[in-house]
Amino acid sequence: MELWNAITSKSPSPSHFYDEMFDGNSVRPHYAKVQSILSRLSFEERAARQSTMNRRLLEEGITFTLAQSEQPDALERTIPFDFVPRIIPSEEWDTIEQGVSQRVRALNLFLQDVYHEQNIFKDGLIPRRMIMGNRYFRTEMMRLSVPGGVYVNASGIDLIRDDHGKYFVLEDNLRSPSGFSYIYKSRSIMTHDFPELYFSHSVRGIDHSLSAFRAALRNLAPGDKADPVIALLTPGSFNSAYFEHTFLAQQMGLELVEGRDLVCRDNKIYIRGLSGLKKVDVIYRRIDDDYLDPLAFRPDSMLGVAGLMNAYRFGNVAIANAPGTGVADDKAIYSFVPDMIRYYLNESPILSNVPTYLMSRPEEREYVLERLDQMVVKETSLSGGYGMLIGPSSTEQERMRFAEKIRENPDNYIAQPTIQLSTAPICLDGRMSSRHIDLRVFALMNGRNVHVLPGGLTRVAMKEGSLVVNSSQGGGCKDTWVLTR
Amino acid sequence: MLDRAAESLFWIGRYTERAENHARLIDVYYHIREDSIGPDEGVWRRISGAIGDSSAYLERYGEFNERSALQFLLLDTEQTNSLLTCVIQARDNLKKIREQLPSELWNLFNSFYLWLRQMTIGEVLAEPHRFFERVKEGLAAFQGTLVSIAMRDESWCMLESGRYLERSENIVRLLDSVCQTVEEKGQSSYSYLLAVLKSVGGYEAYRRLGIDELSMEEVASFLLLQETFPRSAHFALASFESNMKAMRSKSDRSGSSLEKIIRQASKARSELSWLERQDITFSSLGSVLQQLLATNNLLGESMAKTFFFPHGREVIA
Repeated sequence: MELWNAITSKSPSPSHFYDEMFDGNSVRPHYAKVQSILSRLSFEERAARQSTMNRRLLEEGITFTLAQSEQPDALERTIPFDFVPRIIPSEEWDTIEQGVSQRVRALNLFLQDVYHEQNIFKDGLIPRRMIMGNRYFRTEMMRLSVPGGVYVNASGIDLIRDDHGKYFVLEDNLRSPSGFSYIYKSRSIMTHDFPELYFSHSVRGIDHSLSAFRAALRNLAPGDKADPVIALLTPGSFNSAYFEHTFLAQQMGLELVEGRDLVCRDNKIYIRGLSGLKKVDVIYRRIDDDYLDPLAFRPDSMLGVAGLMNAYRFGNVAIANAPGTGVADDKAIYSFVPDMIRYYLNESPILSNVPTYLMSRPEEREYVLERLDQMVVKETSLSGGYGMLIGPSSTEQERMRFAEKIRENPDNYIAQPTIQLSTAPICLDGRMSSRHIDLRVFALMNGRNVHVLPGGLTRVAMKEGSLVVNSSQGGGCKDTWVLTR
Repeated sequence: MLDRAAESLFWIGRYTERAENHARLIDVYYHIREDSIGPDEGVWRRISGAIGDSSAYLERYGEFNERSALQFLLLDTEQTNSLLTCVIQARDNLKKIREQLPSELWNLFNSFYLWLRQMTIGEVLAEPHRFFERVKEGLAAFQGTLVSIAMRDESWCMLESGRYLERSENIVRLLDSVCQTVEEKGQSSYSYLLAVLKSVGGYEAYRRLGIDELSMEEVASFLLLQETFPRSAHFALASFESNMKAMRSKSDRSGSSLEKIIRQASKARSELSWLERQDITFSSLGSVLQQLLATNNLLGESMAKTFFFPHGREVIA
């Protein structure tokens, strides 16, 4: 235990947070083996292992590109990887799996409803203006039936734990959530560079999730073609998540294409290649709605394909995720998800929401403005940790500026009490230290079934005490293990 | 295969080959200076001119000296033809199509790039030969792995055709620079010609063929005509041609433009085969090189027209 350089003293303010590994001073039973193996290693051994892993990440080009960066050299960087795994006991996982599956089904039904009958407005559960005025609402999708009724083929649900260890949903990502590749690479690094740790546990495998992913895409293909062509539409090699796109294309046998590789003829989409044109049946797109088709959306888009929306309307090509899913992962709509679950599924929500105040409601706005220093304020349409105010760590001036912005445009903001993310130990240059983490769980919807990838991506706020885990803000990741009983 | 991917593959072939040529050439130049009479300056001026653009050099570094010239030729990322730039270009192209080649290749080339990028000119000067060895090894490892595991499909043909076109062009440029030097230096060119042969790894082969004399004409005909030597212009053009022929069955551009490329390459190759050793004299060499250079340029253009931008962008909605 002395080798474990007293984690609790390293923690920002230990008693307030739920620690994944420690319960007070004792190790939680499902972490016992990891803890004992790690404490047998010396500082130097741990540091050496860490640097081997980092080198491998760099050599394999498992990088992402920062959107705004002054130095050209800093442009390409690896996501910091930590080898202390995050472990989820089997029963705990069952709850998460059911909760995520339930949530995704409800959100999908919500989208179906929004773009067809709009019963949820008629029944007065959600104000109509919140949807119609939303920048992600697509009139083009009205009354359009999508293959299999599936809007959110791939989604990422972000979970956090409060100081009692209870799971909450922080955010739904229904447009094009990224992070799949980090899960697989993290696992591959653990099995190759730390086998004695990995193989001492019985961990649920993740490989079949790629097949489930492929099957979900394959089943969207129009007609009953035996061997449909599935393409992954990427913005190109300059995109921050390009590594992920190449990874998914390679692992699932998809064609990796850019908009300029595609051409529309007679309302069908073709890949143009050396051996002529090849018809595309399914497009898994990793570009935003706005850029999909310059004829339908932004006319200045160079990333999309002119005519794609027409081909989609004619049912000649499927698009995953469907355009217009952004209305359902809006941060203001988020607060209605538990109601949706009751409304559409007639079930009670398994995973709770973080309490959320809508700034468009005057009494909630005043409540929040009085306590800005205890709140996290988010802009409803932004993600990736941009446009946020974290009350406790903000300055008086920042709070003033935000209060002004909220009053000017209340519809654009929501507030949540500062949530105490759970902490987990990480290894920094051989020393163990404690950092805040969250969990992005990935769900793949195939017809009526939802496949949840066992584990998911544990993101780590690498800065001490920080609550921001997004990789665009320097967050790292861990391998996430779901134990098989 | 996508047009865009074909283009990237072609350039990966070209840039990796070019990087290897640079490394070989600079290595040899670096190590023959002891034999040369007169100041170093001329050596650096010549080689900067052969690989880069000497006026760009003068603008940036002023006078010619070892340190600046090597920085310019090896590690200067603003110089469009430095060793590092070639490797960066090859890597960028590889990155664009990394899902199409085995991931081993990417890992290998990326580690090579990461190593090269962090080198400083001081480290190069500390052990210059070791540095060039490592560059050659890095590129050879990539090439070897490719030969060992890559599918022999159209992507292979594109990559190889880029490599051999580049090789043929490099030989012509090398000989062109040799011509000028020999003209300037006259009798003292023996060690220089030796260095040229060594730079393409052909000295031993040259000796095995039993050629007694080491003259400009003999070296030139060896590098142009020797069809069994893999770094000769003849060999390079023949390989380019056979890769293009293999594309016939793999592409729908089997029509006139691909046939035209094959015809152009085959014409250049047969013209070389018809040349006799006696046909290459000091006075005729210039025009042979001119013609070869023109052919290389023509082939490069035809490749672009046939495979990379066969039709403009079209919008039919």
